[in-house]
Amino acid sequence: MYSPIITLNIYSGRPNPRWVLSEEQTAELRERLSAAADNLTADAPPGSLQGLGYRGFEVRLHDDAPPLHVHGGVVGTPGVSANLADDGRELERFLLGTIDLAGGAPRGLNAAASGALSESVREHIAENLAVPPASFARTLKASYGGCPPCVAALAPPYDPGKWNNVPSVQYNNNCYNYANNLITNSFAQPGRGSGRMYTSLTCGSVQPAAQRDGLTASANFSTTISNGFYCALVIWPNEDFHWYRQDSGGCWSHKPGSTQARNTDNSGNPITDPKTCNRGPYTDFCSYMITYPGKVTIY
Amino acid sequence: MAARVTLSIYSGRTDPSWPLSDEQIEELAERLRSAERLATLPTAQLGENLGYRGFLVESDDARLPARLAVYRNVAVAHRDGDVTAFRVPDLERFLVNTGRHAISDPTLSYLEQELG
Repeated sequence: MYSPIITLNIYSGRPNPRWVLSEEQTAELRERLSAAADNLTADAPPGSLQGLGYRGFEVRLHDDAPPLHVHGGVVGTPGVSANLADDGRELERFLLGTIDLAGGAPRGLNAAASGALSESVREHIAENLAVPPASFARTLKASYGGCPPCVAALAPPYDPGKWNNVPSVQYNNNCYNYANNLITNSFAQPGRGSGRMYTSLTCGSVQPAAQRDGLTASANFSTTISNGFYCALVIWPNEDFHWYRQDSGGCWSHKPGSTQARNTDNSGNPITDPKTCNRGPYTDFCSYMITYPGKVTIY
Repeated sequence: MAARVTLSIYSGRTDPSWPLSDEQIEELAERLRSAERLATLPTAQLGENLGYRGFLVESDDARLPARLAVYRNVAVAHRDGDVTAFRVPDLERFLVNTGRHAISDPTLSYLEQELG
């Protein structure tokens, strides 16, 4: 039987403590998850979205399945529309306890995990666990207060699970798919959907290719639009292209290639404007653009 | 398949990918055998940013793990349900060298800077 791998999400610079559950602990975890199966919630585990310090636990039940996120009284269940409520935050307390109770040292992970938890870290976690689940919604809202207004009627919400929870979707859809909010499983290329792909990796070639697919250029993202939403094209000169999109919350998000969709830049900051964020080697900003749901053709 | 390396680096284009020769497989296996095993797994096995994010080696050769992620001097090996991390200085340079024919010159220059 596969032994679940638990990660305590707490550090930023150091590696997070990670350990393997014993058979007994695995059985108890499965019982606790089964017991919570009917207790659904529309909330997300706050630690899976943002934050510094204690951000809950990642529970990897299988190698091939995305991990569960347990934090703030919510069990995030990728691939399933509703999450589970952990009202008393008992599952978090149970997982915290498995650091000390894990028997032996399967795969050599336990010793480092246990030793890494100093008294001050334990106090920090205890303080967080004392917070009732409802307060997290207010904290989250405050932390995202710096986003610019979104004036596009059809802007999608930031919903990374749609792209990250199913491995084949994550792997086969790129930044262009994500910016247009269209899953084609073809690693879409500008212009290919309309019959003529870009011929060079420059703004002058990729941007017209996207326009042939139905997108239009825009000088800004502050003009109200009723039939589409904003995205942006950037270029790693002669090597690659990349796209961002503005979500309904006002900040921007993106999906670097076959990696996970995310809402932070190369410095780890929320993206308020793709023109000014840290884009690594994608140094050329081409243009803001508008994509039109139901009208663009990408492949 | 034997063993195939994918360089995780692009966003819009498909990442470069190439097979390892038998000799390269043997050298990679030897480098892993002699690598220092780490007590903890890294938070992320590959990078998540735009630009260089590491190498993925997928293999059905018994000498290698089924899946090996290599990023910033750490390799995470998946073999028969076991997950193990190793410190592997120079392994990324070795993997770059196995794929010079599949990587464009500008990307090679960028990688040289990234790998220091």
